[in-house]
Amino acid sequence: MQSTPTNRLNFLSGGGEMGERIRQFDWNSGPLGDPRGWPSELRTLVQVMLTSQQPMFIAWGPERVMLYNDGYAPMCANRHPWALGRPFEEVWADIIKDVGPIMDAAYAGVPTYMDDIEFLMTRHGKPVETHFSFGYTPVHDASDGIVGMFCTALEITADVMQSKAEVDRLRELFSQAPSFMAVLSGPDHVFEITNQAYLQLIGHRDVLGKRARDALPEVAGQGFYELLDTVYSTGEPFVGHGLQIYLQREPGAAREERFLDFIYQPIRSAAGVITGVFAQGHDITDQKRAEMASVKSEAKFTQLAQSLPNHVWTAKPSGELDWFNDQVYAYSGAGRGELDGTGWTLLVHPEDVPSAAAAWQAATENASHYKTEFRLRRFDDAYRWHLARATPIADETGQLVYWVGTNTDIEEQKAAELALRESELQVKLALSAARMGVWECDVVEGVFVNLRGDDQAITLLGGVPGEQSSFETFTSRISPEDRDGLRPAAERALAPDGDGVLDIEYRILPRAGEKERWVHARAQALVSAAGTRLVGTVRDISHRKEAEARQQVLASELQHRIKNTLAMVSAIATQTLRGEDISDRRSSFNARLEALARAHDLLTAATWESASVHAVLASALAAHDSGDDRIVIEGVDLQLGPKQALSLALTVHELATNAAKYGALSTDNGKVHITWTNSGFDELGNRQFKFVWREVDGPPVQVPRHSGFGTRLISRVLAADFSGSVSIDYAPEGVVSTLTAPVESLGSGPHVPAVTERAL
Amino acid sequence: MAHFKVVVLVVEDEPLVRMGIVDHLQEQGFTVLEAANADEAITILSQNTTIQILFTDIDMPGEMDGIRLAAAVRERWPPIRIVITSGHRRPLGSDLPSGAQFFAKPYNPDTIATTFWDIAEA
Repeated sequence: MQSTPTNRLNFLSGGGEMGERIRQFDWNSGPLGDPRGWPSELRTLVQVMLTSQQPMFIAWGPERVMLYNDGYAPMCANRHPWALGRPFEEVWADIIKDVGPIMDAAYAGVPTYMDDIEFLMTRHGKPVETHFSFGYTPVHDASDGIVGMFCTALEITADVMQSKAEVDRLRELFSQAPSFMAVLSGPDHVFEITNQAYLQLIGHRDVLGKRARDALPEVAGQGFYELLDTVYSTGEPFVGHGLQIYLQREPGAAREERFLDFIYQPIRSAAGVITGVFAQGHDITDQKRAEMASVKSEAKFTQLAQSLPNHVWTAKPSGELDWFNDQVYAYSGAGRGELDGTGWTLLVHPEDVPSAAAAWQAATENASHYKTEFRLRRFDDAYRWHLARATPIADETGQLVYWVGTNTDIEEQKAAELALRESELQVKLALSAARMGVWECDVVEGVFVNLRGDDQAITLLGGVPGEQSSFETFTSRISPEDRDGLRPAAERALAPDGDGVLDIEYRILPRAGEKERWVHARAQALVSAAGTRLVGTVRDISHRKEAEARQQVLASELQHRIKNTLAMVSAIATQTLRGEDISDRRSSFNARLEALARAHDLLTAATWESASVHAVLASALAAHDSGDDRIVIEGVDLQLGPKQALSLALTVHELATNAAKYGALSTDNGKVHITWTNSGFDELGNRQFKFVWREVDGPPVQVPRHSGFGTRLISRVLAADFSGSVSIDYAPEGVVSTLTAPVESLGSGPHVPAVTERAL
Repeated sequence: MAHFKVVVLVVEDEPLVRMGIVDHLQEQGFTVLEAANADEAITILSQNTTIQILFTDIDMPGEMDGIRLAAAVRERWPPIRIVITSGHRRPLGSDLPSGAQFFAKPYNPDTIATTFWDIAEA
């Protein structure tokens, strides 16, 4: 402890160069005087200063005389060592405007702390940027008056340089940030900072230092400045998504539509006062447009898909189905989402699942088209066949994006297909069973060409299965007798007014070791734009022809025998009824027998089935019609059964014989009208066959005294055979015989010629 | 009526029918020769030169039927007039020798007789 410090200079010890300089300094010629007389505050501060490594200086007394240590010397630069002992104002005269007030404040009792003062210092022979913080502290004496100030400096170069690099980095980041950024200051939103992206957005206009409304006039009226005003005034940030803005992207260019995602963030000072707005955001125009296009095309797709009657669905590239149109839900009765993924397979008929799943897996693995048929369960548990198809949809890079699929109801086609297959099979079997062949040929200018057929047909037509033969080859195989009939038959079939049906029976020339064969070819002409075709069948009818021939022989033999029998009956009658006195009777008997025989001819010709009224009349009147039109016949041609034909023939023979003897045909002028109809009705409304024999212009009629054979034949046999009734009117002007019978009885009746016996 | 007998050869294999027509023709004044088949008929024709009319059935047993008989007669004895009958329907004209007439069985004997008189008088 020093009781009398004033006498000693220990406080000046140490302190390196500046310690030495202070000790050597001639203080006596300055305002501070001899250091031994310095006040204790100064002495303490000098001691602290000289022992500290930190830069420090002291300004003392009203003159503010400077004392400083080695640490501070470099800051004085070329002012060192001149600055020692000189007034602060003199030392820092060039910057006194800046530092003077701080010094004044310290002398007024207000300490000041100054952060980051930059100095250029020479270190290791090189000029180096340095940074320091300074604290200016007032120094009070015992009486609390300000006697000086004490300044300490702290080098913060390293910190500053580090944070400066950070700032630079941030600035760079800011500048190069993909999002646009701008700092707008003040209520007029003056551009303070913009980055590259922002400049890009606004077409590289020079906007710094300009009010937003002046810098980007085209934005006015679009609501953005108003938003800025609001953010600035309320301090509430604003976040905009996909906002539309019209901007000039190049000087003088037309305004362009852009879409922006951005935020307006208020900037506050340390005191919390809003000083500006920070704008940051992204130009999402391309994204927005793509999105809009996709929304548009998606909407289009959905609309289309819903308007289709088919089931429409989509699937992810993985094959999981993710969307179905309403038709699918309506058909299946499934709820939304139930069919997603692989849920749809629950609709597929269990039997069809393996094939459908395999097809779908194959398609999704190869990104190839998908096509399969399966039965899908309807809401009412009925299964209907569907054709499922799907196409992979790729984007412009070829990447599979999704699948679009459809299911089309093919139940009816399927049923038709099955029915067709079945009917085809049936037809095939039937044709085979019937030994029928199917053939067709083209008709070119009336000539048959390009004959083709199945094996059966070719064989039947005399060819060898598989051979390629011209139509002429087939024609040459036809028996020459039948060859001529072919052309007229074809012409009839192809005639404009014809029915288009070719129906021919002809013989095929036998090949060695074979019998002659009959075939029946029947074909329908099909006329189309491509031309005329004949399509038909052919079958072997040799057996039928043989049977027909045998039957013909039999019928002929039968006729012969009947005729011979009748001839014998005739001979017996002739023998029995000998004598001139009964020659009339003999003659009429024989005539009746002849009439009966001729009626048999008709039936034999028709194999005992039927005979027409005209033919019956012609045969019965053969012996009476002199050819001078005295017998007038008028009526539609109707078919009669065998019994009816025989009895009508005998009846007409009797009537004609009688007329020739006593009636209209016995004179030169008499006539007979034979008429019949089948269009009248009886009293019950049934269709009626009415046959009338009317004699006119003959001699006056005498009613016969007794009924002869003819009368009895007509009234009994004829009426019975026709299931009808007869009347004979012996009117004076001419005999009228009428037969009426129900139409349905015509042509009926057994083929047995039992009537022959009865008629006899 | 002719002053001479008209000679007719009836060829018919059925005796009853033959008897009927032969008797009837005889009653009508014809001279009638009869044969049961074509061979007999040829024999008779060879031995008898007065026959003017041949009346033959077609369907007969033996090598030669009535059609062939008629053809042979037309060949060997051209003046003889030929009338043919058959239980079959009328044969085609080309099968009959020229000038031959045909009657279907059963025929009316009176008609046959009348026809023969017409032939004889022609």
